[in-house]
Amino acid sequence: MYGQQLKSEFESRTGSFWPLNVGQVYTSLDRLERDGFVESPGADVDAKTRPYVITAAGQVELDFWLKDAAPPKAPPRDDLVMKVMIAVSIDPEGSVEIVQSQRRQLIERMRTLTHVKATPAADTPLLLMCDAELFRLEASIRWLDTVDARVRAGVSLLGAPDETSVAPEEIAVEEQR
Amino acid sequence: MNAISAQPKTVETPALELTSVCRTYGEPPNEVRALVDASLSVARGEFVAVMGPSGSGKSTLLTIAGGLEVPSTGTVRVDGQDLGGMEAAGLADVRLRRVGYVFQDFNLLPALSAVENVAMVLELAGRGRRDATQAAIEQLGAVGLANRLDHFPDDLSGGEQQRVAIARALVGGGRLLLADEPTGALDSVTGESVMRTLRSACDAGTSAVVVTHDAQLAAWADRVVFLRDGRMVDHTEPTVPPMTGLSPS
Ligand SMILES: Nc1ncnc2c1ncn2[C@@H]1O[C@H](COP(=O)(O)OP(=O)(O)OP(=O)(O)O)[C@@H](O)[C@H]1O
Ligand SMILES: [Mg+2]
Repeated sequence: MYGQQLKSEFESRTGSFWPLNVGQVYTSLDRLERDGFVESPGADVDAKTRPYVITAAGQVELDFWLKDAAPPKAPPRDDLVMKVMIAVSIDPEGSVEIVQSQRRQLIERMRTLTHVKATPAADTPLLLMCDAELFRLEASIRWLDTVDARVRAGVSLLGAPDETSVAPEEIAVEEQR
Repeated sequence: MNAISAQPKTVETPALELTSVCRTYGEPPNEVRALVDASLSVARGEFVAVMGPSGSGKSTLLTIAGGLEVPSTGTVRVDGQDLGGMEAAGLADVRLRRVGYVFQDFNLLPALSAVENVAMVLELAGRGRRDATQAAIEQLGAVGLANRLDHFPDDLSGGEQQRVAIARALVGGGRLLLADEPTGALDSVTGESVMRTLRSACDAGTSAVVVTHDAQLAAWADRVVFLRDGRMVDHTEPTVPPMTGLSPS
């Protein structure tokens, strides 16, 4: 398979959400060839004109990569989470309106994606990409619902010690039982 | 599919119109204000989702809209007919002919098969048995139950019973569909296929009000209304472009 072809295959298989830079594809192919995961005849010819084939070692590596979970990362910096936490810290009661405004906009975004799913032209890669984004947005909405419920229950999100908070000694006692 | 939804939806009599509806349970000081000054107009062919925390009045709104409960104050109109001051017989007729209700606990008749449960609604409204059975078979097919027609409710899974209840509310078309958590027992792909069925029923002229906790399902609606402490606190704007004819960008 040629680099240009690889680029368009990747894009069509992932719902065209992440456009690839073709230069980047050749750089990656270069590295894969160096590591023995792909091979190509005529190593001194320009990469653009060469077809590449996956090697047996490449197959093994690909299989491993597909099954391997991504390494854990620190939670990504999330504007929504930041805004809501700041709003709650300033004025818990007033945050209700801010939470609702965020919730409405998330639902509107979900509706746009659902429209895309409803088009007859939606093929499997596009449906799967929309689903992935919809689940992400849904998770944010569920988090907002929880914020709402906690603020309503009067739980201090700032962690100020109150009667209901559990002291470290109590946890230790709990563990000994 | 978009022939109907592309029409302006406000020229006709709304399929459902709640005006300043309040519902109070109990006596002071223990009274519960389940619904406070709720107004909602649902056009023909419109699909409205209702969201809100537990106890915010969603089921109360739905039961009042379907004539199963009476408001403390305010008016309810179904197809322009005021339910207030209607005789019991008139109300029963509205519930049978104009409203399809999906209860949170399905409410299927255990002695009737799936197809009989669905066909019964049309037969009670005066359709012949063969005709009603044919329509029931088609509607059950549309919710993915073509191979469960003769099962009795006890022999169906929870999700299948739920889909029979939805088929019963949709069969024959043209009624106002009121559904309380209609996809609670369904996995996400089955839930989505039920929503697609609802969506195309609405594109063909059915009006629907669906209560749901599930944002992914609410996203199939034209408009989402948010309840909180019995009040309608917010709503999304009605969909500008129809569901169809939008391309991914
Ligand atoms: N028959 C009744 N008698 C007294 N109170 C009632 C009655 N029906 C409902 N309520 C109260 O009215 C409020 C709204 O109830 P409703 O069933 O409409 O909530 P909901 O939004 O459907 O909640 P959920 O998501 O839990 O189903 C609740 O506080 C409930 O306790
Ligand atoms: Mg309820």
